[in-house]
Amino acid sequence: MTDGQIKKEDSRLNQELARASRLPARFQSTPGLTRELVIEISRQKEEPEWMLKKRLRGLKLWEDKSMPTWGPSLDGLELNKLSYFVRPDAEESRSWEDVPMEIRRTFDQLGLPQAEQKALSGVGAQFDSDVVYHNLKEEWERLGVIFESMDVAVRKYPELVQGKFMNHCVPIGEHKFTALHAAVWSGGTFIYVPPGVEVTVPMQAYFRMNSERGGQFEHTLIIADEGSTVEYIEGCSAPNYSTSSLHAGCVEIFIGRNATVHYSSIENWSKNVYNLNTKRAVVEEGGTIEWLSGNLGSCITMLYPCSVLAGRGARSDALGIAMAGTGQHQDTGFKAIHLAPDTTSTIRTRSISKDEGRASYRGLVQIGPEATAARSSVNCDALIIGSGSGSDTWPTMRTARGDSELTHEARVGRIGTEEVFYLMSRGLTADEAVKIIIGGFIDPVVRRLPLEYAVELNRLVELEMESTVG
Amino acid sequence: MKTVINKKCSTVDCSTNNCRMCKIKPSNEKEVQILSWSEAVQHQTIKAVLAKLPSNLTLTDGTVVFVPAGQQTKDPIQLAACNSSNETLVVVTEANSNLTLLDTARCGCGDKKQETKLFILVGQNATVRLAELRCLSEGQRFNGKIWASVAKNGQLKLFSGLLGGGRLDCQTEILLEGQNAVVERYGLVLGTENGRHKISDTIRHFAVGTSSYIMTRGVLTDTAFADWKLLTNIGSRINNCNGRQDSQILLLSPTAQAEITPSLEIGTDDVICSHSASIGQPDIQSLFYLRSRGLSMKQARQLIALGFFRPLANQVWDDETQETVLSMIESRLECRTD
Repeated sequence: MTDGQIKKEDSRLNQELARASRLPARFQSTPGLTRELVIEISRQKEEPEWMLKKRLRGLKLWEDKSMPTWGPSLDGLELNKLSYFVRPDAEESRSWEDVPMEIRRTFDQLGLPQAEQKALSGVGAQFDSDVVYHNLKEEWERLGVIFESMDVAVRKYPELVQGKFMNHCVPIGEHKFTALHAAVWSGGTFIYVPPGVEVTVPMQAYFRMNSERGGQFEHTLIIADEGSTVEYIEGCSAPNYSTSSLHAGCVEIFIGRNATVHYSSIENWSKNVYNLNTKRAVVEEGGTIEWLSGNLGSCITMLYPCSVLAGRGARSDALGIAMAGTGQHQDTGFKAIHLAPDTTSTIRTRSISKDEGRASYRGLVQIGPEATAARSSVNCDALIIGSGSGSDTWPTMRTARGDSELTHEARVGRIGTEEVFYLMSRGLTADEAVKIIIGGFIDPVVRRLPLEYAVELNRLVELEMESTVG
Repeated sequence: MKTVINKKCSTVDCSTNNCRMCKIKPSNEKEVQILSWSEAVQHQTIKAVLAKLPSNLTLTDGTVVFVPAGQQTKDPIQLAACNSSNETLVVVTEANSNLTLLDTARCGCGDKKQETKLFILVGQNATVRLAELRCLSEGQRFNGKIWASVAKNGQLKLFSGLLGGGRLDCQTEILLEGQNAVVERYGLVLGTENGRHKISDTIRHFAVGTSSYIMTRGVLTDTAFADWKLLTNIGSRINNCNGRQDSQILLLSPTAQAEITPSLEIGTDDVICSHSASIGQPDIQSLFYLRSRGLSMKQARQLIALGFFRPLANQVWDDETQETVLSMIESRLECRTD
């Protein structure tokens, strides 16, 4: 596809998505957060009593806790003007035909049904606060795999959900926005993979925040039982408004003995969204968590996926890419908490800042007193394009064990003029040369994605990089 | 030839001849002036320089080492042993001068809490090399503060060694205020017994073409703990800068603990910055090799620790001081590597 065709296609896509953004909602809460709203959310979702109690506890902690005193400024986030619960005019369905045409068209444009047919074992699609489509292919269902929206799972599988939902993985009161999430969460994904089952085809959920001054608070809970394997991909986007929106999702992953979870998310929120997300995995003996995190959109992102390596030989691999343009501050990073012997973690990130954007890496590797012979390696590289752009690296390495090994390295710089000159001498334009160099820079991350997503991520980065040179 | 000088004393109870605060004139007096605080505040040039210090660093006491403009000191200057628990040293070098200062204090302050302040102002095209080594007794508390400013084309090479001690808190802030200013900061820490070493090094680039390098090495034995916070900050549109950090901690005991936060804050694209940090134990293969050559485990660990410090000790320009540093480390390690 030529550049001109790509631009034309993007323009058409934007028009379609803009049309979807004008869809009326079935229910939209009045701005602000009240006890009545929390009770109403729980009532509309027909939740059990224990979940309402959790929500009210979240509300109490939200009121008690203060805003974070560190990180990027959240002054532009008008919390009292947000609608915390917006239900689209659609019921959850297992067939795209039953999804209202306008909403379906949005996901068509985002390529979700096509991807489902080609490369996915299950797909979930969330529009504002509600999941509108959720389906798992029969072959996986027969093996006992559960792939449901979180709302359904709370009612249908309380024995799996109640003990794990915002308990010891991400506690409700961890910080102000986990408390808010507990109070108003809606939608999201629940995955359970039975012992020994290897789900060889990825599952995907797509979260679309459509309403102006909206908030999206989806909750994802993944339980991979002993010896199982699953790959889950999340995509996120929203139309652009002049007013601020909030995304405060939560992801909890429980990885049993010798189980493996690959979790990938490409978050391309529009530039009015505050993306304050919390993600954590608890990994038991011999288990593995693989994080892949791509952050391209939103005005402020604060996202630090965390691996708690609780069992002997547990492993965490994290790969991240962040891109900050005009008016954006991507404050991202990873955490690895080693609590058991022989645990290993690797963290590799790449960030690009341009047009006065700022990308920050904020990470933590912590080795506890029981984690004998733990190993960790962190590598974060940053590319700065334009003299007004900036980059920060704030890694913390902490060990309570003398027999542990931790290494960290980071480089910050700009695109070398020699590299551009060399490529131009081979017949490329400056723009093409920069694109190739950036492609190489993010390659370690992109290579880990399934082909379709790698192509999508590359294209998103290319679009962001347009007009950067000259 | 090395000149040994004692810092000027303003304390009323000073009477001993070996007190570093007593008035003994340096042999190269024309090149370097050692002034008590009361003399310094009468000195018009020094007074003007001190007035430029940030308001939170207002000084009321201390010894001033002053090198006038154009003076090139031939020999290093050695400060004598310390008897005082609180001291402030101000180093002022004017344009086109140079100074080499060695402060290998074998502190005799016993278990007393010690507080030191060091202020360095490097003039245009001036070069300052300063090495300080503090060998502290077990359990001794120590608070150190270093503040430095480097003017255009100025160069500062600053080496600090902290051996032993109890609770240590050292903060260093270096400002590169003039174009093409350069700083090299070397830090060496040997934490023993229940030592708690809290070290913070910050370098701020305020001018274009500036370069900074931080290199730190630490060895921890017993239940010692080290917390290092390193920061290189390059402001918005401060172009053509270099910033490097290299920090490593070697843990010689399974109960030793460490934390490193090597941070970079960069506000422009025309920079080359990097940092690397590691926390680890002696390499098993190296230990095995040394054991196979007949060394005991204790000797092997000691040798590895010395080798670990060697690249840093080599940065001390004075051979004699280099050997002093290594021999002090060796004696400290002697009974700590079981």
